[in-house]
Amino acid sequence: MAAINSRKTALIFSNPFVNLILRLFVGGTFVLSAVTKLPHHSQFVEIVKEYDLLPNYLATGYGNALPWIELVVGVYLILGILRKYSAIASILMAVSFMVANISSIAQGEHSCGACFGETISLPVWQAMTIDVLILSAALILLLARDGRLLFSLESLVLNRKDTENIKQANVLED
Amino acid sequence: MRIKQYIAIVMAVTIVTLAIGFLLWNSEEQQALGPGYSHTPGEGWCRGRNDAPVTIDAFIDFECHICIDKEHLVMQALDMYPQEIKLIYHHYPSSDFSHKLTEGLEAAGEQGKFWQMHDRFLEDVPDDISDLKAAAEGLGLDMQKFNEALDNGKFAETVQLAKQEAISRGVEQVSLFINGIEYQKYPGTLVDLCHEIDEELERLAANGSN
Repeated sequence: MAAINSRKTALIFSNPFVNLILRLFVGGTFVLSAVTKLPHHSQFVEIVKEYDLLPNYLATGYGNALPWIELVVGVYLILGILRKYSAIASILMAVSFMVANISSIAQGEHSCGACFGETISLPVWQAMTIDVLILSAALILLLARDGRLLFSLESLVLNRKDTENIKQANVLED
Repeated sequence: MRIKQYIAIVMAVTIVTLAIGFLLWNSEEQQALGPGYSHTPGEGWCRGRNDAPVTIDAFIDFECHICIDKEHLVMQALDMYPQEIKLIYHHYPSSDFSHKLTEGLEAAGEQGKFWQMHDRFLEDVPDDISDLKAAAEGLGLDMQKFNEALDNGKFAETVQLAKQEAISRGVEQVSLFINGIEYQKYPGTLVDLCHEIDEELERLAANGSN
């Protein structure tokens, strides 16, 4: 019974519609985040430095590189290419955001100025919720079986079929 | 074959994404300064249309009253010739304090308020460092960042390099150049300056029609 449940869960995770929604959520969030940070990258680097979590040179590197990585990973996820690698990058970014937000909470901060650049200032608890959702979604995308993705360039070009999921679904229905 | 196609698509998507990112990245300074303003490191702070036919290079020391008078005239001329003039401001401090004032301008520029600080100086030049900091506070700058930049001499080298660059271009004193030709009046009147600008526009028009 437990095995069937876990296989059902795996199937839900691998469902093309679920995958599409998760990709759009994570990808869209990263693209929005990058688009708001890139035009104000100098201010963003200063905000990262103010967290005092990294040595100055690392904070500068992280602050300059993050919007680019967010943009590229976000676009990859929306278009459905290099899904697994993008999911791994998303997990790493979500973890780094959570560390920053936990540090903000510890310092008594109430808003997350770095989350979406200068444009949108979120309360820390909202930022943490988004981070947890991104982390969960990225984990699901990472663990989902390779199969046909909806609106995915990868599936389109490689002509990937969802045969594995269809077989699994048939087995469970039987 | 399909793998090659896939790799090509990934590369194309990456290049297009990075190009969009590059445009956003470069929009920072222009956006912070507002339309009609730009800043090119090493070239100075600009005000006016980039394609304006007449460029006024102003080498300014804010402890020099004649400079301030001249700068006032240029500001009025900019209002009168919004399509024809571009002003490029260059640092030319002559004393330790004017050096510090200029660093204050750069520190304000870092926060997107170079011209607001410049205009504030034209209204009333700060007498000392605390006056300078009060001016920054009045403009709503992030004071922690401004004070750090000023106290740590963050822009001292930038100002020094700007002055050395001016000297290497043959600028021997605070001065104005209209399309590379030194404006000789000290400080002259608005009519004098407009006359020079009109002459330069006429000369350009004559060259263009020839």
